[in-house]
Order: sequence, then C-alpha cells, then structure tokens
Amino acid sequence: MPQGGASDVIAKAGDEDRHAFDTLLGPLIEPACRLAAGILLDRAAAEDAVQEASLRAWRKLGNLRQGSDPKPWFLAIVANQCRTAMRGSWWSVIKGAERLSTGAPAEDQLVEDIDLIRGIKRLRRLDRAILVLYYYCDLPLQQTAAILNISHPAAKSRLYRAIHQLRRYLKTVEVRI
Amino acid sequence: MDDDTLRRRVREVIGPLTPSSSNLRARIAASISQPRANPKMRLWSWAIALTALSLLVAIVGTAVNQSRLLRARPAEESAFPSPTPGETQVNVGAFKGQGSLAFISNARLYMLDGQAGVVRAVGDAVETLGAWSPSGHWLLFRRGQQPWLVAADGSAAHPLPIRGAAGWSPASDVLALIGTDGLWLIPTSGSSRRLVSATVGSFAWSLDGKMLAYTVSRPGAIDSVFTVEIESGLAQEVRLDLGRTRIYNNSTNNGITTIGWWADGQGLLIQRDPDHSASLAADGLPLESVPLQGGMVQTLAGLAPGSRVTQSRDGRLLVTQGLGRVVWENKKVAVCDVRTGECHDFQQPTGKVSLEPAWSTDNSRVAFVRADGGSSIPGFGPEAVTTWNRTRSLWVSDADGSHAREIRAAGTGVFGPMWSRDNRHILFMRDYSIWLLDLDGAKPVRIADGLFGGKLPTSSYGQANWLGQLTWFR
Repeated sequence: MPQGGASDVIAKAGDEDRHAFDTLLGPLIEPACRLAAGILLDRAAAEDAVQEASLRAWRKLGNLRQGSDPKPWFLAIVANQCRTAMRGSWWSVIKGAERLSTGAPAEDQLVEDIDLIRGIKRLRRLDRAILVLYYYCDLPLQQTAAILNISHPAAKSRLYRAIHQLRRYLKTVEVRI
Repeated sequence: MDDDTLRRRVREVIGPLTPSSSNLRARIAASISQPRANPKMRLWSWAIALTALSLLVAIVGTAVNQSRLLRARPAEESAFPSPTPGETQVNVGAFKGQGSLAFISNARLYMLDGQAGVVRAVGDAVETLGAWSPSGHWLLFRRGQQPWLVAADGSAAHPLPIRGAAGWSPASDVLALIGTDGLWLIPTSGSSRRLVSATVGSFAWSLDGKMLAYTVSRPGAIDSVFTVEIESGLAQEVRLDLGRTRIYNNSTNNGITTIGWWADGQGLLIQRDPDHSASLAADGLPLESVPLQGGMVQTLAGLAPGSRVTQSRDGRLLVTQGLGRVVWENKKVAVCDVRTGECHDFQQPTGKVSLEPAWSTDNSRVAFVRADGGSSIPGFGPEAVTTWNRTRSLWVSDADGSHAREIRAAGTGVFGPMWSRDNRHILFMRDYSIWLLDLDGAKPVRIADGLFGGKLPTSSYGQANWLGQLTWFR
C-alpha cells in the first residue's frame, strides 16, 4: 500500500473538511432531522433528505455570508430538499403503504397517533413546515419565518391556520402564540 | 389541549419517525470529500476534485486488494432500486406488538415494524430473505447471488462485499460469509477478517456464537469437517467415526454439509452426499449426528428435501423425515435426540403426511401442516399440486406429538406456520397472503398479501419454495 505523498495530502484535506463540517454543520443535523421527519413523516426519506441537503449546503458554503447564522440558511435548504423529495416516486410509495395500513384495527392511542399524522400530512407543505419548525424544532416564529422566506405575520397566520386544521384530529386545541 | 400538550403530541408522533442525528452526522461527515465551491476557483476546484477522486479510487483499490480488509458497510451504497407504487395491502394495526416482520410481496421488500406501527417499502427486485441479526437491527437478504444488509428502519441498504452463503452468529451481529478464498467474519460495524483460508463449502455457528463448524472441499476427495474458535482462530479437524453407518463409503468424493451444532456444543449435525450427487440430494439425505468428544456418527433421520431442522433449548431436534422428492409421500414430523440417535415419529392417520413443523418459543408445543398423502393424490404437474395444496391444514400438538388438533380457523392451503413470542399466535401463509391467528379462537387476520407475486413457485413434486419469503424477529 503506497505511503506518504498524495495520499497523505488527501487524507489531511479530508480531516480538515471533516473538522470544518463538524464545527459548522454538525450541530445543525439534529434540527434538520427533526424538520425533515416532520415534513416527510418517514424516517428513511428524512435521512436521505438531510444527507442530500447537507451535501448541497456543503457545496454551496461559499454562498453563506460571513458572520451570518448558518442555521436558517441550512434549514431552508433542508426544507427545499424535502419539497423535492415529496415530488419523487418514493414519497408516493410511502404514502400508499401508510394509507393502506391505516385501515387496520388498532388501539386507541395508535388510532390517535395515526389520526394526528394524517392531520399533519393533510396540511399544506408550508403550513406543515411552520408547525414542525415551531412545535418540534422549538424555533421562535421569527426564525421560522426567516427559514421559509416569509414575513412574520404570514408565518403567524399560517401557524394559526395549521392549528385550526389540526383541531379536528385532536380533541381540543387551545394554544397561545 | 394547550400549547404544551400540542407540542408533546407532535413530538410523540413525529419522534419515532426522526432519524438518529449522530449516525447521520457521522455518515455525512465521512462522505464529504469534495472541496467547497468558490466561484473564482470553480474550474480549478473541479480539476482538483477529479484528480483527488481518481487518486482516492486508486488508493482505495490498492488498499482493498492488498489488505483484503472488508467492510460490512461500504461507504458507497450500490444501486438498490427504490420501489414503485404497487398493490400490496398491509395491515399494520393487526401486527401491533408482534415484533418485526420482513416479507417479499410482488418482488418488493417490505419491513413491518409492529412496535412503531410502521410499514416500509424498502426496495424492489428482492428474491429471498435471510434472517434478522440477533439484535434485530439488521436484515440479511439476497438479490440474485448478492447478499445485502438493510437496517431495521429500512435505511442503509447495501450489498456485502462477497457473493456467497452468509449466516448470522446467534450471539452477536456478526456474519460468517463464504468467499472464494475462505470463510470471513463480517461485523455490522468495524473491520472484517478472514477466519479460514480454504475452499469452504458450508458452515454452521455454535449456539453460543463462539465456534464455527465448516467443511472443506478438495478435488477428488471426501470433504473434511473442521471446527474453529472464533476468538483464537484455532481450527481442528473433526474425525468422523463412521462405524456401522458406512453407507456411502464406497465413494471417494463424498460431499459433506454442516447443518448445525448440538445445543450444548458437544456435537455436530451433518449430511453426507455421495459423489456430490444432485439427484440424491434432491430426494433428501440422512441427517447424521457427530459427537465431538469421540464416538460413532449416528444416523438420526432421512431428512425430507428442503426441510428445516430446528432445535429446542434442551437439544431436541424437530424435523420432517421421509426421503423422496414427492412431498405427499412418506413424510412425517419427528423429534430426535442427538445423543442417542433415536427419533420419535408423530402419530398420523393413514393417507396423510405431516410437514413444516415449528417449535413454540417455549418448546412445549409444535405447529405443523398436515395434508393428504399417498396414493389418493391425482398424479403430478401444476394442476395436481394446486389441488393437493388445498388439503394443507394447520395442526398444533404437544412437543411429543400428542394431543394433536386441527386449527380449523386457519382454513386450508396453509404453509409455513411460525409461533409468536407469547405462543398465543401463529403466523402462516395462505392464498398468497400472510395471516396471523389468535389461538384463543379468533379468526385469522390478513397481515399482507401479494406473496410470490400471486404465483407460488411449486415443483411438479409439490415442493413449494416458500422459505425466504418472510422472516420474523420476535
């Protein structure tokens, strides 16, 4: 096995990249996983989306303004990637499999969970993203709006609308924003 | 419901669908090797990236060739066709709390997680399933000759680096895999190693996962049997004292297959095939018991072709005995003692055969299929087999075959019964579907349909290749 020379340089470059990744994007993978899971409602699809979005973000790192917060920028890429994934055939299959499965007998909790998932699934893409960013990724509404490139009032009204729509899948919903 | 409750409920339903960020983070970090784009340096970047990639490929190729270090999970996952929409119906709710079930429907691999209440269509062009790893985290399956692994959540499907027979250790998530240059141990994480450098024909894990038995083929000679310690790599040839069982000894080219170990690790189970004869093997071969501490090889039973051998915790073997390739002739369920070599046949009425026995998980009961047999069968061929398949019914008995009773609720045309962990349910196949039956008297519930693509692969002799269509982690 050849030692030294080019292979060392490549290994070093790889180490540096990995370090930079760990520092910059590493902490954002966890919220990205939550966002993707909330939008796609499928673990494997979410994993693929985050991986693809991470590689895309890494390649476009030059576009990030120096000193700006990478979190909204990165989560916006993840949200876009999820939108692309939802258009793909894989998403159609998962939807099909889940639709078929929900006709099964199940216990109360499972039925409620399925109903809530179904409710989330029926939200518009943007509304679902807002709901997930706010309630699952624990981001403030201001940052949620920035990620989705909409105004703060628009984000607020969309969140209200999402909660109103979910009301029929939950027994009672009273929320303060 | 207040704000916090909504937050909690959203977490509860989306949480189980969220990937593990630590695993994913490591995977993404490992795959980042390209230099970052810089508008001013784009062309240079591409050139450097391509050069680096070429060098990397060359270095990796050299490394693999020279060190023969195999990875269970290559960084690059080979093409695994994503499923296209199909017609399979899956009843997730009915499988709640029953573990994980993998099955092939219309050539598509499905993974049904009874705990999370989720079914996933994982990929297409899957031919046979192997087994779940002991932890239940991984599933072994085959596409053509290529063994693959996929994680229990349907992610990370990837081919294994060697095309050969593979089997999990009963004790840990480590695969033994036969390569052209020996027997390899491939863990699901960490480095692989070659345990044996020889032309290995078959292998079997000891039940504690500390030993392997394997056979070595030599051109023009009788196969040899060895045992090897996993930790030390110390191998030892097993001397076969054939005594009065020298039924095949005129041949100088006998094939030997290791079938398994005694439960206590004190002996092996083998089958010998004179002259590596495919014709004799198609009629089934005797199952033989080999004590490792000395003593004669004992013939236990004529094992029906394609049948499974399952062992209870205390070492009783459950087999379908009866040589001959015609399934409706001369087939009985029997329990054998590996030490004494004695087999006890289950009682069965004249004109019937018994097949496909399975222990309950506490080894106190047996489920099996009973069907018409003997001269009442109207000839061979697909139509006769289809007619005969309708006589297959589900039976349950005590461990010694006593108190056998038909489970009429299961209907007819039953294949491959398996017990649930709680021994209250039996999973079986019927009408190209998987069914779950509550033994307390409820009607069976259809879990999934579309098995075998609606066409059961059955030979003219009635042998149905249903093994490998589903595997259950309980």
